[in-house]
Amino acid sequence: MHKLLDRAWRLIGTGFAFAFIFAGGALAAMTLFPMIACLTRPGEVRHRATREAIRRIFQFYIGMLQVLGLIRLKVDGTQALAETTGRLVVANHPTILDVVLLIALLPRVQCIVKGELWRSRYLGGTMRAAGYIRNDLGASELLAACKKAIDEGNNVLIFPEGTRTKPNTPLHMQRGFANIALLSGARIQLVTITCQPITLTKGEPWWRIPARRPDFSVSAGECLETADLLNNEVRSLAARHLVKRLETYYAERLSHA
Amino acid sequence: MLSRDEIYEKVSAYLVEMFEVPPEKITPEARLFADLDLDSIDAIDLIVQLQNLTGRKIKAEEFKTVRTIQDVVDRVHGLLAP
Repeated sequence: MHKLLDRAWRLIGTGFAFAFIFAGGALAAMTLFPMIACLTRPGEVRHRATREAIRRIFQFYIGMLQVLGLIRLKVDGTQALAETTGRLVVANHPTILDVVLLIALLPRVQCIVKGELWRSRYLGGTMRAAGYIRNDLGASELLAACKKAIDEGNNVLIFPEGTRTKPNTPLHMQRGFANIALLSGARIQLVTITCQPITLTKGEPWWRIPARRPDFSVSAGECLETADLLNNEVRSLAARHLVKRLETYYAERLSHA
Repeated sequence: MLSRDEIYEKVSAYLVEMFEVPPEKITPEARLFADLDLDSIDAIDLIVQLQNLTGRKIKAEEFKTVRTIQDVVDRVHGLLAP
């Protein structure tokens, strides 16, 4: 009986949480972000204020999910994450909540967003106000935008898998993040995210909730120095080796989770 | 002047050395991005190598339509033609 009640409650709560983020997102896009735009000059000042507002909203949201009993969250290295600046932040990507968690936990997160989102009527204005980097730029423009963001002290967040992990398949990374790190000289902050039992994966409808309350964990890993990664190799080889190394790293971390 | 075969040999060697392409995957029809796992930054590096080989400046646009190893060989051969 207790289990049934718990499940019913989490189903209602999950519906509410999804409605909250969509309605809240629309509301903020119509009120809060235009207000910030009125009060700030265009450019970096506006971008930072908008991103900070997004961060606060996400912090509130993650807190709300815990209070409602929808998730449990354990963070390993809260302080390290909160003090991270000017790095390329690389994480695995099990669930839809990952980006919300990392924006909430890390300061000054700069994201690379889909070009479609940039043009979206619903969120496009917010993406532009936040000054997020579009993924449909040319290779050298994208690289320059990431380098500039990192040099200014932002943390550029990348999920090298490109999309959420397919459960029960080996983690596969694309090479773009490695090229960005090696060509910009940025340090890489590794983060591992787990969710047990797994939920909110790609293509899973919101109402298919897990049997029990999911445990999320976010843990700050090593920080890699680019100079060590290059190791006297040419960029093309070093990038390939970095991808392999991190695929192994995450496979190990996740098998122990 | 380099023959087509010589250019093919050179390009194959670059692919193996610079991009860890397994030698058995190298055929004239193999597509650089889809089959051999090159990315857009790799393409820029490859063009630099081809510039060194030919001693000519190559514009990235000239390589826009290149898909396969054979396309690369043809393009380089075309550049060297008197």
